[in-house]
This record gives sequence, structure tokens and C-alpha cells, in this order.
Amino acid sequence: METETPKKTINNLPFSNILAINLVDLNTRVFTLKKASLIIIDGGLGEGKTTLAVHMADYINSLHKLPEIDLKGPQLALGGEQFLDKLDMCYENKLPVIIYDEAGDFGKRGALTRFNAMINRMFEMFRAYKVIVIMCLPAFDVLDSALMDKKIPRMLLNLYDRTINSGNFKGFGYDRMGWIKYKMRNLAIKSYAYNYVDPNFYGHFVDLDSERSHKLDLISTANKRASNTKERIKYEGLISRKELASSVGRSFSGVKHILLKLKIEPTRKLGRDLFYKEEVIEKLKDYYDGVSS
Amino acid sequence: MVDFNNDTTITGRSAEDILRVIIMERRYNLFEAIENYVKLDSEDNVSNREIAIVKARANSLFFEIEETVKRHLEKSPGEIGLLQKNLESNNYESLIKAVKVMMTILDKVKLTRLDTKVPYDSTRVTVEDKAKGH
Repeated sequence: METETPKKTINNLPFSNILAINLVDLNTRVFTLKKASLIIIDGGLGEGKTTLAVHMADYINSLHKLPEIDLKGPQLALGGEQFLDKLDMCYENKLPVIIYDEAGDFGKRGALTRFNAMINRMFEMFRAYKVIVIMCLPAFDVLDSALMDKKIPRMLLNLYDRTINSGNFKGFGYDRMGWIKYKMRNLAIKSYAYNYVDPNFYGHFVDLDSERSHKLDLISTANKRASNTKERIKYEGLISRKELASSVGRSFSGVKHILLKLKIEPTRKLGRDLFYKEEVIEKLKDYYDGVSS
Repeated sequence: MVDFNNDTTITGRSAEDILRVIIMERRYNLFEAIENYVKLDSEDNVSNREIAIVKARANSLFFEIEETVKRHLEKSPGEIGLLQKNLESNNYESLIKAVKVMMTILDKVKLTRLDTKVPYDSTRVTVEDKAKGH
């Protein structure tokens, strides 16, 4: 007889009760007081940021009598590209919470500036959305001062020292976040700032059940692989079919047909997009010159 | 700083601030006298001089805050009378009763109050941030 793997829990919740109390308060802030609320989870790689975010989102859903979040649905956005679209979907479907998992966004040049600009724009109209945003970041200080000045981040959970069985966090409110950010300015190792400010509370959390944990790994890995492939494409100087068409001054469908006719294989594939080496431009030009003469 | 010759404040500090400092200084001197009395009393070495010093310092403090005391005890004229009677006494216990009434009034006007912050549950971030005006 098959049995389900039981979820490991602390007092019937997958995280400490004090976090549940604070989530209820923030839920009230957004849905009763109609104020913006951003929850930040930060910490090193592998500390369990996405896991805790999923637990928190499930809990907030339960406060609204909704089931656990669908990891492939609109409540989990991996990277900035997905985030704004999925935020709209949450709003349309009256979903109370969305997770933004940074998913390596900040590895790219100029990413931080673009990210902060996007977040500031989004939060300008945030009140209309009535969605709690949980943001997973490598380090809380990537958020610029404008967001802090608008008092949008309301809780910071700094994760540390994860073990096989559980993760740990320190919780900070807006006021103490300000002091951490201030302290970070003068420290060579910014994470030391968390030791200078007393947290509002401490807590622990357990892993997701094995099936969901595996599913999350697959989704996260697929997203990171896609992101890596994009980076490799840029690094190798490969160009898309659209760029090829633009280089030779022909239509996309025409170029697509000719590439098939000449049996030129793409160097990389990303979903339905194909990428070729630059020398293919010359081959196409030669072809079109031959046809016109 | 106050120029006592022509009643003006010279550097812009208000008279109220100066007065608060003077009151705290008199309070300190009064406590010193009480300590000295209790110390000598424990040695059976107390004389009229010590009780006279306690009485004098209690009365000086009263003179500084007399109008404030009268406003606070306006609805209890009996208490004002009792306070003044105790301040005229040469009995230590009576003087202490008067001192306690004056200390209560200093606390009410927040001159000597320590617990001025509203207590809140700091484990709830929204509660703390609200208490701090965020």
C-alpha cells in the first residue's frame, strides 16, 4: 500500500509560529488597511529562500481559503521577465500573494538598475494590485533607497545556517531594516550588518514535502538552464533568425526557408528559437547574390 | 541663560528649561539630606541640625513647584493644607509624607518619569513599526 510522505512540521506549520503571526499582521495591512507590503527573503545560495517563500505563500493563500500555490502557476515568478506578467495574472485571478525569485537576474550587467527601476514602477501602482509580494534576493541591500523611502518593504527574513532538517531565519521590521542598510554602507562584508541589529524575532522552517521539493527543483533548474543558455548565446556571439533576416534585408519567413534549404544547422536552441554563428550571414548573402544574378 | 537683572533670556534657552534643571538640583540636594539623616539616625547620632536641613530643602523644593502643586491639588484643598502642615513639621515621617506628595506631582508632569515609552510587542514587526511612526 502506498503512503504519502508526511510533511515535517513545527506545531502543524512548516515554520515557527511567530512568522505566522507576522504574516497575519501583514495580510491585514494589505487587505484591510490597503497598504503595500513587500516581504524580502535574503541569504546565501542554498539557504532555502524559495522553500520558505513557498511555505509563506501557501500560508497566505490559506488565510484567503485558497489551496497551496501551483508551482507552475502565476504565483511563482522566476526572474524579472516573468514577474510583471504573473503579477497581472494574480491581480486578475484575485490571488493574494506572488513570489519573485530573483533566479540569477543580478548576474547580468545593468540588471540591478533595471530591476530597481521595474520594482519602483510596479510599486507606484501597487496599492491597486492588493497582492503581497515575497521577494527572494541574494542580498537585501540591492534594493535602492527609493523603495525604503516609500516604506514598502515591511519584513525582512535573513536566512542562515541551513541544515539537512531545517532552515533558520532572523526577522526584521522596516525600522530595523533601515539600520541594517545603514550599517552595510561601512562594512567590507555586508552580511556582518545582520549581527549589529537585534532581530524582531528568530525562527525555523522545514523542507517542502519530497514531491513538491523535487518539482520546485525541476522548475528552478529548467529556468536557470534557460538563463545559462541565453548567457552562452550572448557570450558566443550567436544571432537569432530574426537578426539574420535583418542583416541580409530579407523577411523572417524567407530566411527561415533558406536556412532549411541550405541545411544550415543552428549552433544552439532555446525553446523554439534557433541561434547561428555570424558566418551564416555571409552564406546567406552569397546565396541571395547567386539568386539575383 | 537668564539675565537675572533684567529678566531676558540671553542665549535663547527658555526659562522653563532652566527651571527644570534647578528643580532637579533641589531634588538631588533634598535626597542627599535625607540620606544623611537616615545614616546618622541609624548610628543614633542624629541631631536637630539634620532634620532642619531636610525641612529646609523640602521647603525650598516646594517653593519652586508651589504653583504647579496647587494646580494639581486644586480639587483637593484638604491635601494642600496637609502638605503645607507636613512641611512645617519637625517630624521626619511628616516631612517624608510631604516629599512623597511632591515627587508624585513631579512624575505627573513627567519631569522625573522614566517609563515614557508605550510598551509594545517587538516580535510583531507591524506593531513595532506602527509604534515608531512607520
